[in-house]
Amino acid sequence: MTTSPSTARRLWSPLGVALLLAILGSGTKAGADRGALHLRASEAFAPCLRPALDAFTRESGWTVVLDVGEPDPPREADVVVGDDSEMTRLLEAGVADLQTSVDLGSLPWVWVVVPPGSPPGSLSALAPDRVVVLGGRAGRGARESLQGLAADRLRVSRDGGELRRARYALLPRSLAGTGEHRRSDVRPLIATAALVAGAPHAAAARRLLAFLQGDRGRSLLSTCLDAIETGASKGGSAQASYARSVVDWWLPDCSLTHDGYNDPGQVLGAPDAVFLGVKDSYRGIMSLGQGGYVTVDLVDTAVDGPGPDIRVYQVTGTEPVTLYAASSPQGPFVLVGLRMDCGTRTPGLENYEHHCDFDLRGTGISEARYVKVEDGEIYPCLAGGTITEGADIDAIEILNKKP
Amino acid sequence: MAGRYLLQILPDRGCNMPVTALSFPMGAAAAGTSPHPGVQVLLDGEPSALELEFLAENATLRGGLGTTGDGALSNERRRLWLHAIGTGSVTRAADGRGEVVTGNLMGYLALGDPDDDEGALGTCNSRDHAFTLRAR
Repeated sequence: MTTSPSTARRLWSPLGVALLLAILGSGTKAGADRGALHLRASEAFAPCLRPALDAFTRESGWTVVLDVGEPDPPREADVVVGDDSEMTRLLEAGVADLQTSVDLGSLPWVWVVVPPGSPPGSLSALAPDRVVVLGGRAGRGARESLQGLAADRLRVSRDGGELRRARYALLPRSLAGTGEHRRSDVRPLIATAALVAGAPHAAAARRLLAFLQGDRGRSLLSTCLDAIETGASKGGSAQASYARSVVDWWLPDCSLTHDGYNDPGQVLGAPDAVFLGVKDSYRGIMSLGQGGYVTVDLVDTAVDGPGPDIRVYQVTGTEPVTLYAASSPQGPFVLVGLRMDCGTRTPGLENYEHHCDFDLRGTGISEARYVKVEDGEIYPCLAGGTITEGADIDAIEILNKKP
Repeated sequence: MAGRYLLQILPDRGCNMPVTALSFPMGAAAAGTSPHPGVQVLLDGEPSALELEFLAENATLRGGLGTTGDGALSNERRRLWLHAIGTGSVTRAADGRGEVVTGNLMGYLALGDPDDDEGALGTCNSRDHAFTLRAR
């Protein structure tokens, strides 16, 4: 991939350079002899990590250099920490080791309103000030929530100082400055940490990851990160019903050539994806490539019932999925959900097994036997660096089944 | 569909974007026949920056239009980030090639000036964007 001027500017932003922080503990032992451990974390998570890294330094003697910026590319980092949206390509490409990845917590978005007590709610209440919102991949969902706002009312920034000074802003809680904070319904960021493949200080990096997962690390992180909400346990019951046959599928020729998981039959049955411990090595998934799809016959019928009605299981990251449903294999297929982030953690399954839920309510149909699952990542095939491009589908489950 | 084309992306008016249309010079070629025939359409000069992968059947194109994290620079000197599904009927152009003069586009787009961060001039997820792909 070539580096555009905007990317180059982002890589060398004042924030990224100014916040290249060495966190030095008082008890450092011979840190200079063995070098320092490098951790690269996105802007939102850096403030959350500092106390835990400081404690790790004191307790282990390892100096930790915190490099602030998008974790992709990791540059000289031993460990990367980023949101799902920033980590997906790193983990799938094997740049970061999926087997070592661990979720550290979630970080909600807040509206910052200065002065406190200003009229709540709509954006019109914020006029005439511009609304400041976080840039980069992690800020994409927040920026989407502001759609319709005129360009001259919007300010996208990754400068921590500017973000903290903003009078009106939509920010991860960790970057919010003074003023009143109001909870936003933008999807919280999920902090995922992983060892960088070929890290120069791999043993110490593993020790740091273990520390962050341990009681002490979690306790320190909990002052900034919340527990991750997992999906309802509605799925996966003994009576669960999954897709049983493939009706149709399509992958672009480019995806068929470059991807390694093109068998549509892998989406049938219960979730059974397995990461085999080696880069890009899985069993039990179909990668949808750039905008590809698979249409399945559920045989049973999904109905509009309480809560979501259909669940799609997707492996690694939060690659979006679009779902259509029909009562006949020929359609017409009705759009149920467009480019839904498919990264909800699935209780009881491996940490790379994620899902997204869809509700027939409001679609104009009340039941469906056939569903079409389409890639929503839609990343250029020619630029893809993995053999798992697009959403990686493991299974499709009926959550509300017609009796 | 094959040869040189002009892609136009028209954001949903409800998005309140600062532009009504963005255009890109593209090249199209047939791409595969199984399990369905396809067409690949790539940005001139920087093919992986803006890639369209369509299923081409029954005089209809349908498929994904995507950019990388760097977006793609339009003829109007605006940068576009795009992750969307396009659908359009193929009609015959004056030179006999196929083209799409009215296409629907569902999904995500974001705009910026050439050196801006993604979405500096707005971001919009909609079922009602539009596109055209005309022979040139």
